[in-house]
Amino acid sequence: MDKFNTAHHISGQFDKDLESIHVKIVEMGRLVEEQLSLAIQAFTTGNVELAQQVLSHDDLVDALENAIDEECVRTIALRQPAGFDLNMLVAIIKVTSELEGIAAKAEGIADITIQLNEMLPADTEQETDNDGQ
Amino acid sequence: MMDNSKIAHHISENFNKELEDIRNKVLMMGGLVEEQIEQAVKALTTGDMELAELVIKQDNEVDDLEMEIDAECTQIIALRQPAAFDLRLLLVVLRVINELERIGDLAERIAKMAIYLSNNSEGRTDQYHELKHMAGLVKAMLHSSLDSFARMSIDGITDITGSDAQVDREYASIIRQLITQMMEDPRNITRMLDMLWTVRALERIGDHSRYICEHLIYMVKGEDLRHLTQSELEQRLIP
Repeated sequence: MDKFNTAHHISGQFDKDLESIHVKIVEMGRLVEEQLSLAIQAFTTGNVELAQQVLSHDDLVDALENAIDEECVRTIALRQPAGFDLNMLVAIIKVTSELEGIAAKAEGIADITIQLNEMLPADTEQETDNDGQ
Repeated sequence: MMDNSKIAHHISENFNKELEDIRNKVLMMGGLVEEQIEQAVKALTTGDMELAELVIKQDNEVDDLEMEIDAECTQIIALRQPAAFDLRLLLVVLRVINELERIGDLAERIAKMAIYLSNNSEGRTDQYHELKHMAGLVKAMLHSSLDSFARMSIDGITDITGSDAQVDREYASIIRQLITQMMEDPRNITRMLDMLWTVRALERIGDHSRYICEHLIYMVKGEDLRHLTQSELEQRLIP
């Protein structure tokens, strides 16, 4: 993402706005990747605690999506960019929405992991009880 | 009559026209997508293969409209440099047409299931009545959310988002029936899986209709109220 890092605008503040958005979208992407890996790991190993952790982290993804969208809208309103910068900001709003969708799917996988565990026969629950002590 | 007060107040007559034109195109796209759902479900329950093929073919029109509206919005943002409500309106249009495009894809999925179900005559299907009922609910959700968009108003919007819970309940109930029938007779399994994908698609259409409502709340209030539960949403919107 060379275009992001190159300080090519007359307004130094605009560069800072874009840089801040860049940092956040990288963070959001990393978080969503992690959510998906953890959800699949939870599902394949039947790890309910891990599944619950995925569910509890979904708020972080939602908060990042809101924060990035807000920064993009504010930047469009204040800086009135055109050409590449505008296309980039609009594209970022679409990308956050896709990432949020992927995170929601990871959450779905975590949900299913928990549901499947509840359907396990009783003797397996016994084992979980012992582990809990 | 549509209330134009939110759109037709600009000094530039052309800007008013551009926004009006975009609104009409979104509503046209919405109408097309509603028709797609209607026909896909009809094709499935009546076994009308020609209708199913038509739905699949028409998905291109939905995609073309999305790209056309998308390009127009970006162009207006660049040329008019709108702020406040106008900017939110244009950004929300970009999101709404994305939801509509997804709904169009889901209608296409249902049409494909109609073809699979018709080709596979083994086993039986009892869930058409429930499926039609659920389809009616999600169609009403989508219709009301498009109506809100047309009026540019979020009065009563929590009634629409609230229907999503009912859709989810009906979805869960149909899934339970399908699982029971799979266990009763394994010959049913292929059919039941096709039915499962169909009700899953309907449930997703309900979700996307809810997202449209969330986008409209942002457009009108300037506040991002996505990711809230129904009761949190009601607390924020109902005085």
